[in-house]
Amino acid sequence: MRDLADTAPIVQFRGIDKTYDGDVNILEKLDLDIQQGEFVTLLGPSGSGKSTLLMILAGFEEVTGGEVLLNGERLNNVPPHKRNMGVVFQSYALFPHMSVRQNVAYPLKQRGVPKAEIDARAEKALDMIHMKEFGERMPTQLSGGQQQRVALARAIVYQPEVILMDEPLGALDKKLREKMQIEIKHLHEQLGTTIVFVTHDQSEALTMSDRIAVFNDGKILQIGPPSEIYEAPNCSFVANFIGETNNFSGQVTAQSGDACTLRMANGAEISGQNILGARVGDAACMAVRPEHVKLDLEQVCSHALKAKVTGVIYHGDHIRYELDVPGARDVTARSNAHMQDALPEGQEVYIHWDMDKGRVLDPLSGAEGAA
Amino acid sequence: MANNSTRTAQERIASVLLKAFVGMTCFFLIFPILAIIPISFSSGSFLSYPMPGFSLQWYEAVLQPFPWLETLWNSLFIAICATVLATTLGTLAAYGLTVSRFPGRGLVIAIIISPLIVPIIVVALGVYFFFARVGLLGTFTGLIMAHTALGAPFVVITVLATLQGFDMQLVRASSSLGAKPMATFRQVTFPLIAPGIATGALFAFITSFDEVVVALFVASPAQFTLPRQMFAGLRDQLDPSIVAMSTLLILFTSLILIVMELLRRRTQRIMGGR
Repeated sequence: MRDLADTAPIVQFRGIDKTYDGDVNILEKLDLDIQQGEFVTLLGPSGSGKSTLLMILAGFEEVTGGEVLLNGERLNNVPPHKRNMGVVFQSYALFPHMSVRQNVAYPLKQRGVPKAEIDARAEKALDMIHMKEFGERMPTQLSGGQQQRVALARAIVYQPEVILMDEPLGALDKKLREKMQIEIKHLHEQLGTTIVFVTHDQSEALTMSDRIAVFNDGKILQIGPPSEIYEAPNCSFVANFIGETNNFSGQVTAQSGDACTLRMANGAEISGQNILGARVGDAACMAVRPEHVKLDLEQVCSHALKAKVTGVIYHGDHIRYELDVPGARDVTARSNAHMQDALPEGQEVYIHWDMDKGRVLDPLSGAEGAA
Repeated sequence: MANNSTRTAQERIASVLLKAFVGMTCFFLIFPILAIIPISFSSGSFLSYPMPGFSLQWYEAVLQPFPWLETLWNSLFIAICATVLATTLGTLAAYGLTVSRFPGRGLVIAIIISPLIVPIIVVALGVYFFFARVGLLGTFTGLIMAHTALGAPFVVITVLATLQGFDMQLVRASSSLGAKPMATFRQVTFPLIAPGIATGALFAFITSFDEVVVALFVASPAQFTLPRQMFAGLRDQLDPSIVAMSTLLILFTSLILIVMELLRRRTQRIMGGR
């Protein structure tokens, strides 16, 4: 990861509002700075506003309020063709009547680049994405993965200031998607261009990004490096949207310094970090990652919860336990133990976790609680 | 097994019936056209069988400058002008109606295609009274304008249909790649919807080239089109020259259709089976 703190942001969103009908806000008072050379992922469920923000940056959508700056200059009324950004679409959007080479040469042709230079640069771009021998093919003669590579080459060949990718791997199968993730990451390292990447796939976001901005309901809930987003979510939505999380809902009964105690519906008490400054009497929810849940046959500490193993699932590199915990739903734990050492189904256990691994966050809303 | 074979038998009968039906339909459509062709080679001067003998005299007659060739040139001139206008305006209208949604869009479409629905005689009368007022009766301009209005609906309909299958994301992609709106239309949109435009243009051309009712009302003898002349011929002196001209027109129309089909196949091949 590069040090980005001292450079001026290349893209700035300031107080962006977007609504189509004046009633429902797609984006609300949204601020976001993107640094030069950064790989930023906009992550969120569909309808969270992440794609709309990308389309605003590309110039395909107008803002209702606020401003977009590129290198400190206002972009609001600049049409898409003058923005010098490369856009990669989920549907590839290759021109079906042009060969691969003509597609890649297209942006250079629009810029009046001399013919010889066009050929050389298109060739180089095709080489970068390992499609050199496909130059004369038509897009319909290529597989989905190959088409997306060509779209990528077309978006980088004119060295745009920012490359925007709108769920570019969404239409590919899992294996190819993972391969392309690595390739795009390498391409980013090679080119050093700023990339804004939109996805709803949290593992994709964790793999590729310098920073992730988690969207929900038109707002950015949390923005930070992948490890921070995963390990230190600042709200229940982020904790549940990225990775797996066990939720323990309850009421705060005691609070001291960074820690607080939560009493669950069945009366059991658990302690964890008080992230949002919850006060005694507040409803809250503690998030604990499955890999932090420890299982013991005896009660080794006072705040351990009684549980029963209801399912043992072998995943090769780890074992997943499904647990029945009074007062909580769908609790799982991850263990690196070998299968022969696995606990049997029906085993009574005590579960506990380190104090700093339990994060006391906002109470779950109905939908998340049900999920 | 038995069940299987009876079904096959049923299918075979159905297939035979279908073929017979299609064959008869084609026969009824095409036979009247083909039946008159021999008369154009008649040495007699009546539209009847049996023919007294073989002669090319009627072809000689229709290839005389007056009145046939002159009205043919009129027809071609008017049809080409009307086609160019109808195609340009119709394509722009269809494009605009596709990219923007506005209140009253349906009404605009209805007005544009109304010449297809309103009886032609009503259109012709309306045009006649209006043109009389603005001094366009008996002018090429007037006839071209009227034919443009008659041909444009075909262009709007075919181009609208083609644009339905056109991926608007391509327009976004093109502009993000630095192409100005006109450059995008020229390099991306137009080549991809060209088959639809060509089909619409062909319909517009044939509409104008075939049109007789508006021509009856609007054209003075200087603008007589071929159909108008044939109409006059039917009334005044009915002889096989009309059939000779019709035969030439059938040949001409068939050629256009064949060329169109070849062009369509070529586009399909280039686009890789799309």
